[in-house]
Amino acid sequence: MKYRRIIAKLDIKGPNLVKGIHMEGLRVIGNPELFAKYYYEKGIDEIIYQDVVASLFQRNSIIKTIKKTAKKTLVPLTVGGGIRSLNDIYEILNSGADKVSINTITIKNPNFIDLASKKFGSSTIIVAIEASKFLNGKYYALTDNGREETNKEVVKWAKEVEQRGAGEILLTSIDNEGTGEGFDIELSNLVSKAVKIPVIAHGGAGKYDDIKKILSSTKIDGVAISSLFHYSSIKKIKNNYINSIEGNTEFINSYKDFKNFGKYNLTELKNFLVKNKIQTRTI
Amino acid sequence: MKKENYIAIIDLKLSNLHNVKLACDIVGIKNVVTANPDIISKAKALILPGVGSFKEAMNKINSLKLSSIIKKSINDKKPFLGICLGMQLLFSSSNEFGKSKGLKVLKGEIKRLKFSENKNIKYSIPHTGWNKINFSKDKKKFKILSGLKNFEFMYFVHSFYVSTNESKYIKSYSEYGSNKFPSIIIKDNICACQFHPEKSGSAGLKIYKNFKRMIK
Repeated sequence: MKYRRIIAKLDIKGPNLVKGIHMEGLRVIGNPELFAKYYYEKGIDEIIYQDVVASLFQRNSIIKTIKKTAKKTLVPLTVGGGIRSLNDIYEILNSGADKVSINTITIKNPNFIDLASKKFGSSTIIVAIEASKFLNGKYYALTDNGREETNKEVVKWAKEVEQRGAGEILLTSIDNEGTGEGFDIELSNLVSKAVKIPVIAHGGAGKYDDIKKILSSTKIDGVAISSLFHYSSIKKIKNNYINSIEGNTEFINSYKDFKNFGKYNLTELKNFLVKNKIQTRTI
Repeated sequence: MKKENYIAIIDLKLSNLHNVKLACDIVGIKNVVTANPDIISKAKALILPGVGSFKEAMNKINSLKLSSIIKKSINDKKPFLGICLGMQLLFSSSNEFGKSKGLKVLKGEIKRLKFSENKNIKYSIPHTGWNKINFSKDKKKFKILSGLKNFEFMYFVHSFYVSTNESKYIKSYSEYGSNKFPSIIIKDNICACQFHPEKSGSAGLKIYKNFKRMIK
C-alpha cells in the first residue's frame, strides 16, 4: 500500500511564522514551533521549514527554532532556505532537522548535490525545484523564490538531480503558488513520471478538492501545504506569541475578520481524502 | 567487565543520529553517542542506527574494530536495538554494489526494493513515508512491542530490505508495491526495525520507552 504524504510547509522569517500576501508582503502569523507542534498532534506527516529570507544574519534564529521544534515534533523535519555549503547542512542537521532542501546552489553548482548526498546520505537531501511555464510551453527552473530565471528545463533537470543522488524532489509551481487555485497538474505529471525518487508537489492548494485532484490524477508522492491550515489553527494555539521586531504584525494583533478564514483543517482533509479512496495516514 | 550506567548509540559517522539521541533523552535513557570500542563494550545496551550504504557501514565497523564488540554484547544478552541500516547490518550479506558481508548475527541477505507503478500510483524508491506494520501472531510475548497496536503507522526511509528464511523471528512485516518485507525482527535480546521509531510520532516513541524497561 502507498500512503500519500501531507506535509506542512512553514515559511519562516527570523523567529516568526509568516505568510506571503500579494501586494502586501509578509504577514506574521505567529510562533513556528507552536504551529509545528499543533500540526504534529493533529497528524501531519512531515514538516518543512522554509527560511524565506535566509540571510546569514538570521541563521542563529532558525537554528534555535529547529532545536525547539525537534524536541516537540517526532516526525521528519526538513529545513531549507539559503543553504550554501556542506557546513550549513551539517549545522542544520546537527540542530535536529532530518533533511535539508536545497535549490539555488544546485543550479549554480550541480555537483553540490553529489557531494551533499555522499556526505549526508541521499535520503537527507531534498532538491527543491521551482518551476514556471514559459511561452514556448516548456517548464524551466527558477531560483531565489522564483525571482531568477535559469536555462534548466525542468524534466531534464529533475532527471539530473535524481542521477546526482537527491533523495526527493520538492516541486513548487511558481505560477500557482499563492493563488489558491489548485496545483499545476501538468507539471506534477511530467516530473513524477520522469523520476523514480519521490516527488512532492507544492503551490496552489486552496481547498480540499485541489489536494484530492492532484493525488488522484498524478503519481505525486505527497503535497506540501503552506498556509491553508494556518488561520484555523491560530485560534487553537495557546500563547502564540510573536516577535514584533519582524514583519507586519498588524494582522495578528487585530485578529480581524477571522470569520472569512479558518475553514480548513488537517483532520478534515485527511478524512476527506480517505473517504475519496486516497490512502493517507490517519491518527 | 564493569557495566557503566549508560547505553551506547553507535556512531559510524555516516548519518545524523541527533534524533535517536533525542528520543532516548525524552524517555530518560542515559546515553552516549560514540564510536569508541571501550565505551561501547562497557555500555548496558546498544543502539545501532543508520541510513545509507551497507558496504560503507560495514567498512566503518571493521575499521573501527567494532564487529566483535557488537557481537559480544549481543551474546552477553545486553538489549540491542537496530534501526533501519542497523537492522540490515545484523544479517549475512548484501548485494548492494557488489557482495559485502554483514555482522552475520542473523541469517539472511539484504536486497533492493523493486520499483513498480500503475496508473495512479508510483512506488518510488527510496520507500519514503508512513506505512503500516502488520504483526505476526505471537507479538504479545515481547516487551519491546508493548502498547503498540497492529496496523500502526511508522515512518520508513529505505531502498533495501531484509530477506530471510528465519520467519520465526519476523514479528511484523510491511508491504510496498510488490515488496513484502520484515519491518520488525526480534530474537532474544535483539530487536530490529526497518522504520525509524524516533520519527514515528508517539507510536514510535513507545519502542524507546519499552527499550528502557528492558535495560537493567
